[in-house]
Amino acid sequence: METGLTIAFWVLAVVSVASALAVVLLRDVFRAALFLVLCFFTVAGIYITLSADFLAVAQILIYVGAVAVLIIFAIMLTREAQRGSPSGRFRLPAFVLAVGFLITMVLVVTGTDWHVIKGIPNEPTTSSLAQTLFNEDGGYVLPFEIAAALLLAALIGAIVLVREK
Amino acid sequence: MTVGLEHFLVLSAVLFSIGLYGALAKRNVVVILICIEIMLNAVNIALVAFSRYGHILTGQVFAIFIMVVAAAEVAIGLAIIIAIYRSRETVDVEKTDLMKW
Amino acid sequence: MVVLQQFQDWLANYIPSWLAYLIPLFVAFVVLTVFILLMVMVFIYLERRGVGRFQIRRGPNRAGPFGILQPVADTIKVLIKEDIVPTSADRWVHLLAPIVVFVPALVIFAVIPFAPTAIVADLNIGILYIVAISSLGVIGIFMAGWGSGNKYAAVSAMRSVAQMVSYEIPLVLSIAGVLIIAGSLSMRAIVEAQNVPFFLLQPLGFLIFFLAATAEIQRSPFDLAEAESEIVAGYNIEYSGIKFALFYLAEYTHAFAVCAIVTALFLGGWNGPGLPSAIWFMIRVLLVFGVLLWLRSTLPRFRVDQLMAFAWKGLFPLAVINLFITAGEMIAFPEFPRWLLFVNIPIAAILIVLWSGFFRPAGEAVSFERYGRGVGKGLALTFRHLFRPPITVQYPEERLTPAPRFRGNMLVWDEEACIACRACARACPVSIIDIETKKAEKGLTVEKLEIDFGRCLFCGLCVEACPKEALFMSRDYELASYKRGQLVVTKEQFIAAEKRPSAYGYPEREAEMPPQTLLAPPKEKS
Repeated sequence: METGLTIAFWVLAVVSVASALAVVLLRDVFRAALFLVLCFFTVAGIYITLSADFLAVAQILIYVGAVAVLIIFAIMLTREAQRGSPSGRFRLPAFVLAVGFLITMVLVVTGTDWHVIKGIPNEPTTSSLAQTLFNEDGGYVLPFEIAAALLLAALIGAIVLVREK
Repeated sequence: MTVGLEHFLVLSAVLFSIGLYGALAKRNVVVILICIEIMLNAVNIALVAFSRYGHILTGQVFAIFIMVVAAAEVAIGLAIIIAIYRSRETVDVEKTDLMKW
Repeated sequence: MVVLQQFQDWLANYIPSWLAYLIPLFVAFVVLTVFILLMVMVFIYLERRGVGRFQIRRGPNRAGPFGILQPVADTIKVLIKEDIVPTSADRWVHLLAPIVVFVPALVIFAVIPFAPTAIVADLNIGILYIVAISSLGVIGIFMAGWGSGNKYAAVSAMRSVAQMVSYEIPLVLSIAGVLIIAGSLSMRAIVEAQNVPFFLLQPLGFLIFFLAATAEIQRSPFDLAEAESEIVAGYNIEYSGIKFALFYLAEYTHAFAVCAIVTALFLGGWNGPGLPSAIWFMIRVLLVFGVLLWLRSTLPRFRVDQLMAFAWKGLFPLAVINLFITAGEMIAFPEFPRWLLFVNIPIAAILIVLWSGFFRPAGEAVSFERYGRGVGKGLALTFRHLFRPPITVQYPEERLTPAPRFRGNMLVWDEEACIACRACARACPVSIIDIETKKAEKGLTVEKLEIDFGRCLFCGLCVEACPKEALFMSRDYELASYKRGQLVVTKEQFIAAEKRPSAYGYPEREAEMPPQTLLAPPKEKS
């Protein structure tokens, strides 16, 4: 069980990092979007190794099924695919910043003493999530409703922005 | 060796920095949006890892909310991109960086 | 307990545990894939014969007895076709698109409960997994449209994606109604919770799910994006050979998956007395597929704006209202008693009637006469067609008789009456009649007669020009030959031919011609 988890994690981690690199480094925007889809998939797999089953399926449903489709639509509608995705003026500073950030984070993460609780949470998360969200003493109902209002605002805003006069 | 919390957090940091580089260094605004999505996914991984190794569900709840907000943001971002493309015929960030046309 | 788990536990006695976990999975995968492909073949066969019966014709019956080898013939044909990749296509995307379309349709079957112990993976989030996986096929369609390098493929792919994404929402909302009653996301638990099949407790949800699922798998009447007469067959226009076979397979696998999901969610899955559970499941699946065929052979296709309006203005509000009503009923009566079905069915009928009052396709109001009774009458007509004998003519064993004045190929030459005057050769506008005459004891006789029917116009001027009624049009209509030289008919062939003259140019002979059956269907005893 442990070795299976280890193998799965390493495979998924390598594929997700490789596809994220491909997204950033490829010149053809459409292929970059397809590698983004692969990245989302591997992140869903990582959620499964973290025993978050509901979240993994929600990730596929929301990100691959909706966000990636939106992005591909936008690529097809803004036909600058011939020019592709070249690198901007801030290549070197961005690289330095990203590497610096990465080194800082890795040092922080490996240097901290995390109080990890042993054992694997083995219960399915769907009903637990529902109970946490809609708990009797409030839970997360208010952020839930605000998220619903946010989605409604985004929906109306997107329609208004793209409407032809 | 067994996979611990540090592995997931390092993975999250690597993905976040790749997304950060892309969001700062690319000229095509759709690719910048894609890299922002990568960053949000990286943060989600970190939250879910904390939730699993701390045996508390708060991380997953916040990951759900981040997914919702990310979806809304992509929709609005792409609507803005299409609106700009219609009037300026370009999606190059270096050509649309003036506050006043 | 699920058969797969029993197999794994039994095998763990003999081999290390990780191998005992993997080998049964592999076996299950192979068995499931073979079963699905066989059922897809059966579905292809049923579709062609079934749609034929709904249209009073037989369907293919030449390949094998009753045409059962027709899917095999189709498969072999499509596999040996040349695989062409256009130059402007993105090779890798073009290659991977059919796989990305086919694999999600296949993977859905991992959670379909064929019987209480025959599920590959009884996920506790089964139905959510199905919804997520069916939204993956969208990416494949995009890849197919973009990777073909063809603007018609790209436009068709965008239409197809817009359709699939729009119809996902009423689909998921109608599933949510079922989930409220069943109380679990696991497919097995949903089937086990159906003492009363859910299509009675959720009639509106069932209708919405059925229509939305038909639109998801892009079958008639929602097959705008990929029908042959629309936008040149859509996103798979540049695909041939095994890639096209994968698209074709994916469509039928997805149809099978949707029928299985409808059975599990709404029709009570494997509940039933007597027969084994899996047989009940397959009977219901075939019944749902039969209804899909019925819809396909009756209803005309939606136009793209009607399609989107139907999803967003028709199905989506009804699905939301259905969810509200179900949730309200669940709060009021937590055990969801059976008599609620007598409440839900009238509510569904009232809602449909009311809502169609708001719906205006193409600017005119939805009238009950046209969309309610009209659709009903059409469906009843095609259903009655099932019981009529088919009017197929088994050509070439049975031939139909053309009209009495038919201008068919191959002239009929009466040698006795011909006086070799060569009026026909002079009358022919394309000079195809080649006559050489010689002197005989009384006048002239024809020595060589050659008519090139490859260039004949069937104008009939030669027949009208003949003074002695020696030349007739014939009643035959088959002119094909393997070589063009065989189209030149000689004098010996005219003399030896079976003479079936038609009455063109000789109206007085019409009465003795047999009555026409070629362009008029034979009268049947009805």
